[in-house]
Amino acid sequence: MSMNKLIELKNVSKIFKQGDTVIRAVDNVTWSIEDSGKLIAIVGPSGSGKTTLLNLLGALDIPDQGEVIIEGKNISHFSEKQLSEYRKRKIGFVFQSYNLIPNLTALENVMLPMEFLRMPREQAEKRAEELLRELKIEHRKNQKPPKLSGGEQQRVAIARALANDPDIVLADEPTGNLDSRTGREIIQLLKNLARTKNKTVIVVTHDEGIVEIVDEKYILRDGKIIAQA
Amino acid sequence: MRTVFRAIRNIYRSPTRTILIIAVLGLAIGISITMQQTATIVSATSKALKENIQTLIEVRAEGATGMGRGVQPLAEDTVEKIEDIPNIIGLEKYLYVRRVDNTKKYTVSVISGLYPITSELRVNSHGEVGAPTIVKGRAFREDDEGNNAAIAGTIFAQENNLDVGSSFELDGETLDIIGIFDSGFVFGDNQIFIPLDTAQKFAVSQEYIPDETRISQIFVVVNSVDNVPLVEKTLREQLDDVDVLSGQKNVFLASEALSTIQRESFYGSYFTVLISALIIIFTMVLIGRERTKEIGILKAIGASNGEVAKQFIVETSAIAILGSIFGIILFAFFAPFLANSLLGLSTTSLTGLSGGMGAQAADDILSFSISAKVILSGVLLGILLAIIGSIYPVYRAVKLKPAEALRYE
Ligand SMILES: Nc1ncnc2c1ncn2[C@@H]1O[C@H](COP(=O)(O)OP(=O)(O)OP(=O)(O)O)[C@@H](O)[C@H]1O
Ligand SMILES: [Mg+2]
Repeated sequence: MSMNKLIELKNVSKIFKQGDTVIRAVDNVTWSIEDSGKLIAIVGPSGSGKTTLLNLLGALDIPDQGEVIIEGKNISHFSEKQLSEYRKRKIGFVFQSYNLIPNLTALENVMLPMEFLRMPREQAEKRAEELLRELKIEHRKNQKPPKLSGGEQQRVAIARALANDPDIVLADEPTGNLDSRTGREIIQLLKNLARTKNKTVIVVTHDEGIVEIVDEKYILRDGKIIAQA
Repeated sequence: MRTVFRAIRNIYRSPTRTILIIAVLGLAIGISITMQQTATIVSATSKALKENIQTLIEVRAEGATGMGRGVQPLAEDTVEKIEDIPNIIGLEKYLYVRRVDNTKKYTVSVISGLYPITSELRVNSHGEVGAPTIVKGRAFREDDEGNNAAIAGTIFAQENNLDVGSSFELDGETLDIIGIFDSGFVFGDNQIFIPLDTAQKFAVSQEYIPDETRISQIFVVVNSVDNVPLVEKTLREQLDDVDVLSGQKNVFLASEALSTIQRESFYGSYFTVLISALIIIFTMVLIGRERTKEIGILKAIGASNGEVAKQFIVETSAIAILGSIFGIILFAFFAPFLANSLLGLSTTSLTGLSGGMGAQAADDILSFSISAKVILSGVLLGILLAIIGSIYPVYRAVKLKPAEALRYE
């Protein structure tokens, strides 16, 4: 299979100022993500810049220094509209606290990204049901998130992240709120997705148990990628 | 369309809060509409009052009150003196001549001359100045001036076998009866209105007045309500042996009271709009902050700023519209009660003072009810509030960086 560069980071830094202290949350990182069908882990201690890095990859944030290049274009020059277009078409997000919309049913949550893509309702509903079935959560499709367990919510969230058929799935500590068994199930699920759907799945974690399953691992410390395994 | 649907569902998210907000908003909007309506009605009523009554001042010989005690004529130079006073735009002159006929059931009748002929038919009965209505024939017109036309009271007509079209002989003059009036007062209705000069000739022949220039009563028309007190004062200073009655002093007071109500309602309605605006702004700021993280989520999964903004606009509008509807319902429900307590007092006093105007005000109260205008003003208010309420959350949602929004707890 051909390995296209999906995202390239060139000497990227993200700097936060809090009063007098300056935090280089991401510090001069150069990295590229390919459409590898791999499950990639970013590990590192709390505050090492994992979420910040993921936000840069997902165009939720723009860098203060360096370039984030998507399809040959520097996103620093993107308009709000272009940034949201990119997120809408290319990225799927999974969060630690699931972040489902609480007053929408599981099915409606999964349909949401397709709504933003202006997909016809029936088609969106059909696809959402398929995804929920794949994630073995279809029987809970009409429940609202507060009625679902953590593992169930995360399955719905993963279905939602896949709804727009993204190139990259970015998961920020997707197992952080789950017990270890459920956590391992979810990671295995993400790994299978990467394989079968040929998605690049990037998982942020500091759970060492998970790291064994992944295809690639990057260690982040003080905003720098210090090792790759 | 789905954004709209989602936005509307959002208002169910905390039903208690939504109900509370809609109730408070509805109350404020209801009060605002009520006050607006009050201001409008009161404005119309007091305008009518000012135009019709307040600008009149009555002048008559001192102690002359009604036919019971005789109607003395005014001094010869009274009219000249009055005509010299500024701010007077018209005079209505009356001469009331008592006629006693012992062969009749009601022995005392009154021959009333008036000039101009179109002056109000002022029934002189026990000091009452009523507002008679024409029950047959017609009222005086300008072209009746100079012709011997007459309008008789029902009792007068009965006693003298008169009807519309018949004529009445008075000391050699023939008067054509063009109308019959009724005032509700027996003595008042034993009266006939005829041109002033004819009445004056008759009065001289009766040796009731010394010459044909005399009159018993003048209604002075002042150019504006505001000048009434000044003209009244001047009249008192310039004229001796007269009673000056800006008879409608009470009406004046009532009108003052109405202006106060009007002013207060006017400002009150603005104040309540302000309150409603604050309620909705506060609510939407609260909701906007509460949804910070959700805005981040929506943006992360591909919502554009436009979609996020639309959601807030629709949600705010839904709340505002529900508030308006509730406000209109509250208004419809409480309007009659409010109308009574708010305008009832002044209306009662008005009715007592002058039948015509009282009825006018009472009629206006009937309009104090649900109408297209009320609904329109409620809806406009709702739209205004929706716009005001959306500004902050939309501005904030658009400005909000998704990464920051997602960090928000
Ligand atoms: N918006 C912000 N404003 C100020 N400081 C920030 C902001 N976002 C991140 N930081 C800081 O940048 C550093 C990296 O934060 P980040 O959230 O990326 O770490 P993390 O590796 O995801 O940590 P955790 O494992 O606790 O989630 C931290 O010191 C954090 O306090
Ligand atoms: Mg983090």
